[in-house]
Amino acid sequence: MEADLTSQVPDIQIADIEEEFNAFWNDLKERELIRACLFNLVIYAEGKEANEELQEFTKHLVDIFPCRIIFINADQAEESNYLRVTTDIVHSQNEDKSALIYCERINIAVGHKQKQRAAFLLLSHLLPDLPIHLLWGGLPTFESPIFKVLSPLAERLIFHSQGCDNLQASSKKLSVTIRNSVPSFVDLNWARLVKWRKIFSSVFSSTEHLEPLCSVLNIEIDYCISDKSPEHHPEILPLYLVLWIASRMRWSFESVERVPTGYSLFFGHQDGQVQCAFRPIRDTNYSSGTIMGLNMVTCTSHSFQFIPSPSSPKVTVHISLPTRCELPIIMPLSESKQGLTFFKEIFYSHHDRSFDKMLQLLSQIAWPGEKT
Amino acid sequence: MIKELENPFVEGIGQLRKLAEPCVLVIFGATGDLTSRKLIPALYNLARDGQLPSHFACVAFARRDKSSEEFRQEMFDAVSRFSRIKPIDQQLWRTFSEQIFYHRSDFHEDEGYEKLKTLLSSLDGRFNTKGNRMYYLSTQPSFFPLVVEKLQEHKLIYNMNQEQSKWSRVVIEKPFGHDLASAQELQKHLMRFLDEKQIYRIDHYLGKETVQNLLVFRFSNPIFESIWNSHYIDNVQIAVSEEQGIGTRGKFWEEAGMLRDIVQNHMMQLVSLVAMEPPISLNANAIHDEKVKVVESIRPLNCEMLDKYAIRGQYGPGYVDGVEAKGYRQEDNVDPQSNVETYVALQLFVDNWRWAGVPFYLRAGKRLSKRATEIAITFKEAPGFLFNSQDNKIAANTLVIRIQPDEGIALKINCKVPGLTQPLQPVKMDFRYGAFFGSTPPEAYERLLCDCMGGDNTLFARADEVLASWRLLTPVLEKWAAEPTSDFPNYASGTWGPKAADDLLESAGRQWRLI
Repeated sequence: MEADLTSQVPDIQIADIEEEFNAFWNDLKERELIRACLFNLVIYAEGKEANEELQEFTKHLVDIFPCRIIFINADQAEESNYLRVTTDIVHSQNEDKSALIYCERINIAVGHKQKQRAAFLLLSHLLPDLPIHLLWGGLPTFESPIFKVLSPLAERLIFHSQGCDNLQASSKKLSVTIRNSVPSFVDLNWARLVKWRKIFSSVFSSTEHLEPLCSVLNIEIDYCISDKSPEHHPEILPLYLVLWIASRMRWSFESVERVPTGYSLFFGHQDGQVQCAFRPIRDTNYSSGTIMGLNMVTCTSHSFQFIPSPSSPKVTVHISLPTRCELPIIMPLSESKQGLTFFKEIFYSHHDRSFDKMLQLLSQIAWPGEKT
Repeated sequence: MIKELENPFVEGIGQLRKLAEPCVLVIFGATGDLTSRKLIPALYNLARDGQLPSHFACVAFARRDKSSEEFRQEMFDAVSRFSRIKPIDQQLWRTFSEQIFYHRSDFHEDEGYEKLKTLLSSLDGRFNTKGNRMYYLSTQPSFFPLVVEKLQEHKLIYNMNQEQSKWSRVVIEKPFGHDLASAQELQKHLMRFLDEKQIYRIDHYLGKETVQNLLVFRFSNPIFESIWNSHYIDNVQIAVSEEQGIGTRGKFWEEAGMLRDIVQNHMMQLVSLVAMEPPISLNANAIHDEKVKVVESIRPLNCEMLDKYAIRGQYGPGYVDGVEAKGYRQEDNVDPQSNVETYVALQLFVDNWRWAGVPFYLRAGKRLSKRATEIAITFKEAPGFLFNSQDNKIAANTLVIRIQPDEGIALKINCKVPGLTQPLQPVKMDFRYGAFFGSTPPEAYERLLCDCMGGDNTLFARADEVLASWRLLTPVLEKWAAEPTSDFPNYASGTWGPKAADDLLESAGRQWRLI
């Protein structure tokens, strides 16, 4: 997707936003256009990394769900005092390349001192009769003036747990915000795990596989850390996965410790204890947090290995039972249309109580080395 | 025996439908078109989307002599051509094709079924398919009774009441019988060996995204449901129009005809979905019950009505898309004097409180001007005293549900033309699936195969539905068989059908919608 019709006039007058769009559409009247919009999406990003990541997110999004995007890039510097607005039209293509689908984007760059003003600027540019979704690049709190104004209007809050500096405190704050805020919410990292969760659901759909899982001894999970963008918690994706498994299996959290190879979490279950080892692997070819392997061994000599393919979005599952090895199963990590499952999970999934339970477990973990 | 544990990982992953269960799918007649054009590409795409059960195998059962490797290569070529997603993922294909096997046998050969049984047992061991069986009858309909009987004889079908730990299901392609008597006989024969819950009568229209959207549209939008009745609706037109001819299916068409091939199944399903009452729930039987009620409410077509309300046609030479097209009687394997219909137009009345007096106009034809399937609901016109004049005509509001191509929903309304005077202009509010939901939805067969593997028969036809539609339409078949027409062919390829079909509506002051 490319924004090939970007306005060449930065810093347009706020009052001219809709006129700018009308001018675009009038200019393009002669061409065969499809103008589509399923919902309003307000994106809030703070900082360069968050901004880049969410820009990337919108590129893929428009290919699947056309929407009006209002992108707010907020400056963290306290003395910053500016408000700049630009508009552009972005487009995707139908799979049969028969027509381009166009949607509108408003870009707002705002300094710290103008945040209050930016919040009210948005209100008149939300398209009526369509859902409003709020994508917050970070942990949303009511201390933010923009969040305070927008959250009562939003049908769905999407947030990005990557980069929060204290997992335990953040998960507790998040629980409070969620309870007091919009009716539905989703964490991007949680949405990223949807395919893993479906794979698990499928592999453990039979009692033959599920029963040994009740007596698992060790879980080893390898994940990527990248030097490109150091974050506070690159292990958040694998951590979510392990905590989800733990909460579904009703294990109780016992302790966490730092080990030379990474971290280990210990959980108790009816047959003893399970150690979950998190092993970071440096690899610049993958985004930070990508799960690169998962291995589970039980005290009944069952082993379940999940090995993502390096060259395509698939996972090969190797299951060894005490008396035989099963043929490997290959399961996709994405649907044929890149990101469709991910975006459907973000915008259309119902409230997931398994996320709440996972969050509760996370709030019990004082991660070693974190500032309290 | 291991106690069944409940899967704790299902919660929250948003799957409201049953997961497809481990099974072996046996396709009878697997060297036919359907397998290569639809079934294997559907299975491949299911595998690609992670919707195929983790433990699965497919056995192609057919008469021609070939090896599994040869069959896999043929299927690779077929999937390369007919898959909705291209290019083919080579690595996925390698793993997927290793689950496909070819078994040569005639349908009457007992030894063939015994060998099949041995093969299936070995596949259970290899792929952990747990003894679950899905038998897809992609054969000529005359073989359905034989195959099912042989399956039962060789204990390849399980008795549902006695066997709880594994299942067997039979998927039957249309047509289910060729008239009421044969459908009843087929049903009686099947019930000797199977429970109704094991029979999946496939109608691929029901697997289409837009057909499923019909129920969502009707029952989640009260603004439309409140006017979905004879007080507001003038007529309903349902069209299944194809620009292609019969192709290489001359032999089949000579025995079938349009009424059997399209009207009795696909169109009657569309009529049911448009006319049904809201079901009490979304479970399969609740929906089937309402559909059957619609078909049973349709006024039977007696002799007098048949002359007036059932029109048949056959295409002659003409031009389609600017290219010369031959007539039906010039097609391969077709009798040069054939009286088989390639076009049907019907007027039906649903005699119930909701639809009393509203005509349902159905038309289906080959070699028409363009390919389109749609449902058009035309509403009654507004009282004319305000805007009707010499220069003004209020157009009737029309709601059009486009099933294919260019899936979507459009509503025609009247607006004022800007200016000092008040001429009216009909305009269209148009929702197009492809624009708003850019992704390619699953093909109908993908959804249906997956549902069958999960034991969900909502999108399959129930016995009483099928028999009710045969009961309605068999008199038409009998009359046409008894009174061959002398005016065939009666429409040129590339036109909109015979004049008699136009007269049918004109006699009531109406016209067929231009699709």
